[in-house]
Amino acid sequence: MFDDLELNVVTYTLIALVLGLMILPVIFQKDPDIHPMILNRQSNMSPVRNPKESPVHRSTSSPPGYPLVSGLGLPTDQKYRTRDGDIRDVWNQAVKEGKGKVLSVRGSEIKELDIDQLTQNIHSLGSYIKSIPGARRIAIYLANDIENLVASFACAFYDLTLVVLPFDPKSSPDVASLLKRSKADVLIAPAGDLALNDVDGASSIKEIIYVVEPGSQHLDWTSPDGKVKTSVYHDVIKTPSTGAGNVDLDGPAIIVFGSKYIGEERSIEIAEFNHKQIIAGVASTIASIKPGPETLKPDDIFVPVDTLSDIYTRIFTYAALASGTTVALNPVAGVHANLELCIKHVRPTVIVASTSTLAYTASDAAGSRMEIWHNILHYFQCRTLESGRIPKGNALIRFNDYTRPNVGEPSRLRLVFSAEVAGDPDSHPLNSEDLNDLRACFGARVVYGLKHHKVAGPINQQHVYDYRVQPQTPKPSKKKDIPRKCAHFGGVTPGCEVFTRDWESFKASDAGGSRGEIVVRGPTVIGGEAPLGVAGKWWPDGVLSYV
Amino acid sequence: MNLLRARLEQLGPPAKYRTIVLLTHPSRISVFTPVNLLLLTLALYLIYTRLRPNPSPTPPLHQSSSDQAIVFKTFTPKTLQPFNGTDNARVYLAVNRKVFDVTAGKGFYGPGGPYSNFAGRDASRGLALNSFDEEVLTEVGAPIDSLEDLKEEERVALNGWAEHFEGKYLLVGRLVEEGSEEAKEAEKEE
Repeated sequence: MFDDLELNVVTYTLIALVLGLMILPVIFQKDPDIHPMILNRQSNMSPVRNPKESPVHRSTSSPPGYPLVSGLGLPTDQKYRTRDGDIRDVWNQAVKEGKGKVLSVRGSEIKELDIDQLTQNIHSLGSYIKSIPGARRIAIYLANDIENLVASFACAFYDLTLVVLPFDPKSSPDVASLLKRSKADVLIAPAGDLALNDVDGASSIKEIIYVVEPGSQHLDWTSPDGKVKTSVYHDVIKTPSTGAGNVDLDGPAIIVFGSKYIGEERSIEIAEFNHKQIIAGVASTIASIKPGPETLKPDDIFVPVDTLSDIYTRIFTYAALASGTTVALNPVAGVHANLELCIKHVRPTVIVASTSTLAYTASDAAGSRMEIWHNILHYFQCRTLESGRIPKGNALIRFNDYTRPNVGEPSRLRLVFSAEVAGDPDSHPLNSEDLNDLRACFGARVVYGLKHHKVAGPINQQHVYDYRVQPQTPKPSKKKDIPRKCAHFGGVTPGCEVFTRDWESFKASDAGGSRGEIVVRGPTVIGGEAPLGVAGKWWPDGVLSYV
Repeated sequence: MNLLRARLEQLGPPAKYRTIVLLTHPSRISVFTPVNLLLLTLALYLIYTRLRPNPSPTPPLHQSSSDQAIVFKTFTPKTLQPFNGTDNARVYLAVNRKVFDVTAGKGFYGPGGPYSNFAGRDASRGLALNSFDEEVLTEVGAPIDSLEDLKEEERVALNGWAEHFEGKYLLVGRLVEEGSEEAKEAEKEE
């Protein structure tokens, strides 16, 4: 029989093709970014649990029995002791480890400001405010810009309480009532932005410092009826500074406002953080970005795309400063900011964005994938993600690419952080498939998490290398009224411990994973322990998600 | 010259070139021989496997957290007694009203071990006096040993042992009096 076998050219070609298909992919195969077993245990669970509670989950870097991460670990005079530090050390670390500049972005113009000059401004502003009689609480109503940072650290150095009023470039939230509730003594606000009538109601205000843009600095900004003293920022930072005194680490350092939902009712709650909680949040954030190649470094450029009045974004900015990263602030940043407008000229490497911004970006990019070639490209990029790596693209992609979000030409983006506000029905949920699409679009790692206004920093955060997709079935659709569900929030951050407490039908002994009301404990939480008012579920791989 | 050319034309191309022309002429190659078809299907199948969605293998997950963790229980001397390695596979003992899971040290505290008297009982007095005799253990029905008559050095010894247990073994419960408020509450919850 084998004498009749005809082996012609086609046969030899096919044999070469078959052998190539079998051998070449094996030779050129690349390892996934991380071993799948590590993604299978993203939290450390305690072996004993209280009845009616789930086991306490902690980060893998804070096993039960060891203290939670609570400080920066700065060296002291003694050899084997480290100190936690406080918010002043965040700035001192930025001066020491950073590249000596902070960037301010206005459209396409990027201004570099010298960090030593900013330190002088901080001390001038702090001394000036300290000299105002009766000034203890300083309210700021500012966009993401240098003045915001200078005012924040002036309060930190001079033992004043910073009250961060919620700011959004696109809308004007009602701050008059919040000013009254916070009993602020000094207000720092952009000139001409806050109607004086709004401020009139707040009787405790003794002085307003106006931040005037360079074009209007020749105008006279003193208040017309002389009730409240006014001054201008650009004059205040020129005053000579007196030395900074001691700081009370347990007194209120930063006050933010958050929404509290009881059923359908929404009220605004005041959250007071002291130096220790903030620094624990900063340390927890720095420690949560593992492993080594992914941490914030002095070579990185960090842009907060969400407003600094959100404590999560603020903690991330402080974490970036404490790691020596160059911070670039764009006043366009806000909850509904347009990602491209905010960052395309700065070309950052790490950003923090709100879920609304990312959801809009994802749907924009998905809409531009119209041709079959685009869908084939996207399919192959998702395959790379499935095999555990970030798709970087090659010449074939640049041949006919869909319109990706412009995050810099060429893009340097490597990390995108975003978090869901625990218990907020208005927050925009991000699906596991949305996160996957964003990773393919940006060619960067997108990290989802959970945040709350009573906890400094992220509560839960996905592993940086976790690209797994859990498709939502049935698919979310507006027509059939199937809402989008949030992806899982990942393991616990090193600064806190999380467990669920039985609530109504959600019990800790449920099969498939403990369920119940999420409770957070640790040095980053106000009051030491805080129930979040929302039900969560623990998965066998140690990640938390909404029920 | 012309004669030679005419003769060559008459003969046709030389023999060896003729064979190659004959064999590689398109009309002569059959693509669809059985071997070719087999190899073609194999190639198409391999292309399909290389291009289809390819999730990296996920290792099996361990049990969910609800199954794994031991529930912190409130014990009375009566409910603690079965946990001595024979009636129940796990070995517990109580020190200073705290119940520890010493199954890891079954060789010492389990049946047949040198300290097996402590299994399922309150070992506080025995540890304070450094004695493993039966006399230092209180009866199961009697109230829990109050340890009031211990001397200073015995209390120090007991605290040292308590720290040893807290460091080495898992704390799984607390010991309360039979019929006390806490015991009744715990029963209700279960």
